[in-house]
Amino acid sequence: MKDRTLSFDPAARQMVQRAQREGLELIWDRLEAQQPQCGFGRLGLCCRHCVMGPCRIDPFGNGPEKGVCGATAETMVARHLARMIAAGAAAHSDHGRRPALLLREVAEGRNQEYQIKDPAKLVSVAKRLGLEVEGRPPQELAKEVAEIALQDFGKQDESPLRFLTAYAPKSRLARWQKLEETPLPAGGKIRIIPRNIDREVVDIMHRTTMGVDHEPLSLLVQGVRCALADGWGGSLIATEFQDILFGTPRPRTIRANLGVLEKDYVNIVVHGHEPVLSEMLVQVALSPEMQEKAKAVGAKGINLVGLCCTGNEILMRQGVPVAGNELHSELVLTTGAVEAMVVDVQCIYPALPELARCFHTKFISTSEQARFPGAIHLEFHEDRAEEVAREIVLLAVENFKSRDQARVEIPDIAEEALVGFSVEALLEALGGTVNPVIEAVKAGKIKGFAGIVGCNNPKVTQDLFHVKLTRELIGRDILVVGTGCWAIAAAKHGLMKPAAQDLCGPGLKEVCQALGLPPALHLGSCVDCSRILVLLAAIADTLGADVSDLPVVGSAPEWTTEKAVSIGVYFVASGVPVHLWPEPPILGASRVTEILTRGLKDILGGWFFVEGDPQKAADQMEAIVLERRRLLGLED
Amino acid sequence: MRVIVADHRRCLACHSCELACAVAHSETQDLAKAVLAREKPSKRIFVEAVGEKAIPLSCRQCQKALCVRACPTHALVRDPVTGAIVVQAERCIGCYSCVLACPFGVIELISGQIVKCDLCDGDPACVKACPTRALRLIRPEELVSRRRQLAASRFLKFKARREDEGSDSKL
Repeated sequence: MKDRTLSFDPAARQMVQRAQREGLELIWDRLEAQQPQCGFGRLGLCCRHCVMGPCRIDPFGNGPEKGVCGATAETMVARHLARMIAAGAAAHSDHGRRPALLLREVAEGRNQEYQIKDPAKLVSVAKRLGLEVEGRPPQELAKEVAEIALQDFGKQDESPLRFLTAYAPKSRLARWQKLEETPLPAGGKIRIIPRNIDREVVDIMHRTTMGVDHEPLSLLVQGVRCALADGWGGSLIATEFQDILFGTPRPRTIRANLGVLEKDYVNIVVHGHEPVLSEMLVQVALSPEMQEKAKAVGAKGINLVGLCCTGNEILMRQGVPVAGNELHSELVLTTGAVEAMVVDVQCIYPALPELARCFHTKFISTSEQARFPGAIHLEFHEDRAEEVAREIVLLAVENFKSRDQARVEIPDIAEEALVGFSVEALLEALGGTVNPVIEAVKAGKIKGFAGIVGCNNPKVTQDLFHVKLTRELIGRDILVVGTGCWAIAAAKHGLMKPAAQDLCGPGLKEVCQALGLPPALHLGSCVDCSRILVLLAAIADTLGADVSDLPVVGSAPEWTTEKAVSIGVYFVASGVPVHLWPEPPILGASRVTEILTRGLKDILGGWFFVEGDPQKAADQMEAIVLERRRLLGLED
Repeated sequence: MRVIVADHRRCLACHSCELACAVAHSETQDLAKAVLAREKPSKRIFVEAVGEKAIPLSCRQCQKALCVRACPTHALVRDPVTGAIVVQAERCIGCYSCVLACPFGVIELISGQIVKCDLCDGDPACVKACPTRALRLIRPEELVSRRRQLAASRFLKFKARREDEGSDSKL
């Protein structure tokens, strides 16, 4: 392994070198061991949906052109892509279900562990849903809002999701409704407005099983419908309900990278995606009682840090430092300084418990849904949240005694970042409306907006694409917002400091300086991509335009998960062209590839494009922004 | 001189060798680009199924190659470095003689061009692609020397056991 090509982050490279010295296995070793990876899989040309197979199609036309059932390359690729969307939407939405259920329990007084921390957000969500808010107690309002969300997960009629109609921009909604009148070539209509979040996932699993839907366009249409149920449904509900329960993020300065670990403290790393437990862990770990207990075992106190999107959730709301993004999850253990890694769900490598055993680190799983061989399982339940959190923190504190300080190596690397830009916080910074940014766009100071989201992927040098693309874009006066592992990458590499204004083009620099904003804005975790949708809706509605008219573009330049596919599709379906790298497993089907990279433009106004070079990707993204400016009658 | 050998017990019939071979013989040598290109590349290795079993077959680069003997225009010659039998396209008249002569059926004539294994200049893509290492590139003399070693050790172990048991059997 050549560590320079593995990560752009010096803290990561230091830990990789340590792992190599000590013979610790890391994700890059496992990627190497998997080489070369299967070409059929990379192209989407294998199918395991029934046991007449497994079937493969020869992309070069020398071998079979159909599966045993007769499925063509187009059918296989479209079915597989739809299933990826279903899995991604399921993950985000199942996450969203949890705070919705919790809010109902809190509203009904059945849960005393949590409170409604942000009644103002509750009122604004209720207003959007068209509820009467005047003079109604928060508990009553919360119950009604939660019931509507839960109905969006379970109602059996054909009407659109209520959260979607309440939040989507008017012109976009009209476009989707018009599409419902448009016939498909194979019969039927382009029905892409979701009815029920769970149903759209189940629908995909049904129609992609053996012998159901084989028409690529029809499969893709249902994929779009499911993705929209995620973006404007499950993910959005996750964001809004977490804000109500834990507070809407406000700007604050945090530190990011492995240097946030403290040699003399009990270090607890929380990793995964859901804030329900980690919010409680923060509260318990920072309590004077627990800090005292830490001192009693010889530590200076407890240092709780985040990782991945659980990290994003608590840095946005509590200002908790973040140790890194996805590819840091093994490296944080490699420091030897972690007493406990506490995980919930999603993006958690099953390799972690084994690596933890190379040190004194306790690896603690907490979700009934996510078990790990080799882990300590302390199952978390909302109704006894504090009790479980105490148990976890006490285990970590006790474990400090087992730490071998001689084996501790913490890279002295961490950057400051100004984070916490919920839509509400952004509007506040702008003086209450989106007009100041719209004016800046009209004046050409800001050329447009880019949303960069998504993961790390060991196939891409860690953070390199995130950072290079962001620098290219802000240098061209394109304001960058984003979430997830991109956001942590941008924070680690100093792009979220106000000082990053110096990397901007002159126009963006002037605007950022006037508003006191960094040019790369942290909007939260991956479910918080919904904040980007809400922001786009606010701009579109203010202008009376559709999202597909706005100078906006998206990118997932180091994507890994099925969740990223769902996110990409709901942005495209909402009118945003989206750049991807690495290439998705679709290239084995020329028609599906054609639809996704060109055909969707006419239907939805957004489309996908694939590019492996950051500068060329930035060129294409800038060209899209400039083209849309031209169509709006704005000058370059 | 090294040859590709296939261990049928390790072959899972995944066809990865075929795919890698075609990509290695495409213009861009890149899977994604080769799939999108107008001209589809051809493979030179074939995973042949017999009942539930399979084995990859490609040119043996025979020492007394029937294809070379059959070629009326001397278009097939042996590469002095890799030992592979390669086609001199400008001499080939597309007469099918080599295709018909090959006892393994691993030479094809596609669009007027002879398509056969060229050992990828000595670093075959199929061998690198095989996830179970069923395909290996070895020197035949290495193989036989390893076989001799194994046979010798088996023989001596057998002898030793017999002597321990006090048997007077003469082997």
